[in-house]
Amino acid sequence: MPTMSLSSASLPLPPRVASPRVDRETGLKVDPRARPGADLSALRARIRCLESGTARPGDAAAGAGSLGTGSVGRTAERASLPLGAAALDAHLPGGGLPLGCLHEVEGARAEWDDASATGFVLALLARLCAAAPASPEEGAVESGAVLWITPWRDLYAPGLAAFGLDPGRLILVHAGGETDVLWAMEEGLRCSRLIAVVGEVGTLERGAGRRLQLAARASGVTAFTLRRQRYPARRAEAPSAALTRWRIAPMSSAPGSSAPGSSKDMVGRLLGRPTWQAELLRCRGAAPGQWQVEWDDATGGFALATPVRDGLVVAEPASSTFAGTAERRAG
Amino acid sequence: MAERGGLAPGMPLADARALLPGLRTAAYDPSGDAAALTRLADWCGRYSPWAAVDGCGCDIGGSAGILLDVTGCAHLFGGEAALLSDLIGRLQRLGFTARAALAETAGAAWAVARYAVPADDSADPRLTVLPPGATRAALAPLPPAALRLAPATCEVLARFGLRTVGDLFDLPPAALAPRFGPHLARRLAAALGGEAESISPRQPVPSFLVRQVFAEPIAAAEDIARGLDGLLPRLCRTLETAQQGARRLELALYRVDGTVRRLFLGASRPTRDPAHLRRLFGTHLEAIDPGFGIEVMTLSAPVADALSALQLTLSGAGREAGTGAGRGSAAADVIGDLPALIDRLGSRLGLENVRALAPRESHIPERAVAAVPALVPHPAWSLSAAAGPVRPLRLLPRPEPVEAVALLPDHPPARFRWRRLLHRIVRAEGPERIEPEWWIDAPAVGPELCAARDYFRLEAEDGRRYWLYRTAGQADGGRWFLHGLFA
Repeated sequence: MPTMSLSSASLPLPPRVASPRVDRETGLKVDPRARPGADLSALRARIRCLESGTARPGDAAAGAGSLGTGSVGRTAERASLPLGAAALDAHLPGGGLPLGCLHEVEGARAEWDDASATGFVLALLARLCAAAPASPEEGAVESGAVLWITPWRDLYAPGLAAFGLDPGRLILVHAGGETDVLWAMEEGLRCSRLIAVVGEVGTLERGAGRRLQLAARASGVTAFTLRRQRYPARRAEAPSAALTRWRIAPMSSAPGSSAPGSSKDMVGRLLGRPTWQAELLRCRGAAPGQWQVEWDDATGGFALATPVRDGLVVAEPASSTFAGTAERRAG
Repeated sequence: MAERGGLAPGMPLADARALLPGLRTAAYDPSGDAAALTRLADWCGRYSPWAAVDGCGCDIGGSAGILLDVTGCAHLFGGEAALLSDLIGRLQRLGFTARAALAETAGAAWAVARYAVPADDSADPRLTVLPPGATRAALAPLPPAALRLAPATCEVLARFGLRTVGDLFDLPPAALAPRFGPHLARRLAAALGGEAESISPRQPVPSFLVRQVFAEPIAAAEDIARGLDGLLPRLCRTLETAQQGARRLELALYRVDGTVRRLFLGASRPTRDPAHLRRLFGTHLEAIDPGFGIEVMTLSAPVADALSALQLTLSGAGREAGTGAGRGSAAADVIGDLPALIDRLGSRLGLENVRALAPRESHIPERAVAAVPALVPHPAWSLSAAAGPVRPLRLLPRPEPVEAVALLPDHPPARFRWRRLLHRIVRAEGPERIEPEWWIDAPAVGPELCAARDYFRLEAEDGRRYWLYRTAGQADGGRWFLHGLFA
């Protein structure tokens, strides 16, 4: 993804003396003096403006410095958060998860006992929080807090530490019903001192999603809706206003440290890192995709998972890291 | 009317009926009377917050009443006489027959209201205002019972020939106490102002209170909102003068029918920002039933904390501590501050539902987290990965029993059935023994916290991860429970 350093120079186009040449294939007017690369980047800037909803291209050009470079910036219209796994970041527009907008995350089973989607959201939050350091005040949540709104009471704070997320940064809101959850999310999205707002919802109507998306864009706070319901939905849902929509399914983890000589015994086969099949169902500005990712606690980032079958690493040519392991098995 | 007919308290009903054939009777309902009196005392809060039910009247033969301390309130109603006539008039419209007296002391007012024979030239026989200094003269012709004495004491006094309060004035106080007990001397001193007597108000009296009287009763929600808009800046100015911020707000609406509707609000931090407080009231105002109309609104801050003034910047954009909701900015509905957000969430969902999570020193998983009020500093979490064993993301509110099959004793289960679904385990970690906390009281926490548990982290075929435990040290080998879910 090229950086947008050229765009501000070429927009708006300077008044020209020579009559513009018309391209025969596209029918577009082409300024003979402009370099083709500059045109391309100008167009890209324009497209980005349209996507992000900014009225003037200058705004996007001002914020474009942070695009692609991977830094988290509140002033930029569409800053993004790199996820750590190169394949994902390359796929997502802007080189990472766009910030200041709404993301939907659902489990493979949208039922309430699906902790994989929760884990994925927490992993994203952990990266978000790592990018925005907490206030120096001891213990008090002042800035950089995460608002977590849920009608349930089963989020367990000590488990959050496994993702490197400080539970002290969480403000937990128990809302009675769906309406209250959405209302609280919208209120939270108006507070620019939050890092993110997470709401556990059953369904998200198109109108409600649109409201959340608008509120998120106005304040620059990133919103996540986590689909949880007691019974799986009967009918397919209309596409919502969210920028991305993820479906997270659990995956068998790569073996951590196996005790020697006990590979057949499951007691010796320890649990590996949290691993998910992350499916990008839809994303504005990018094609759907599917990855097998795992959360690396040591680096605090996502990594592509090593495919496993029956607890053993399966050879895969694309994965260069584990090629040695596969060869050893083959030999 | 009844007394003029010759009736007296304590008379048998048959005798009363004989004297007055058309007598209307009602069953004696002491609790109902008391409740009505209490409501009436609340209603009197419109005149003064120092309103108390005068209970002693019922015991000693007098009729029940309400005591009001109107010090400094009379000018709001155009003088003491105007206040009394307003009070009597409104009570009559509510269906009460009442007499009112205003005097320097509570004892004198009590006596005059019940026993004074109104002068012929007074405009309204139901109300008496004793000017300052006239207390002694007004009390002198009254019977001793007017001093709030027990009937037995009055009887003794009558036997001694002391038929008026004025007779008692002439006796030396030292002679009264040995003969009639210390009670009489105290009551006499209290009525004359020689001994201080305070009214303990029914409702706690707030230090910060503003009120608004409406010329006509209002009922529309917009009118109530407008009245509140007028009250809030006044209260905030009062708070500012005292360098205080409100932690709790009480909006009392006095309805035409004599009842009071109250609305309570809490703030997570002391605040005196009218715009913020107004937003907290939010939709609560519409939920108020105004009945036939609201005559008086009072707004008070029963709980307030110190909040020192802060210097605003020249543009007025500086924020006051604990407030600062997007004032003057283009994005008017962007909340600038976290406390403001928490108050708004709390005002709709309840502040007890907006919580931060703090660690608690306990090994038992369900006791390891404490929900503390948000924005209050709490102990920090230890975040290093080596701090402890991995804990699940979701902890079931209550461990759910599962059918599990382990290949060997003390081994993790090979499969288990939870909610009719069979899960085959391919990986396991454990056990992790968690002992009960012997220092906590067993009956108080329930039996499930009193057994040692062996926890296992399990991964099923499909990759889902579970946290199961088996109760340890039991004769039947222990039972299995599912307690949590991992990512």
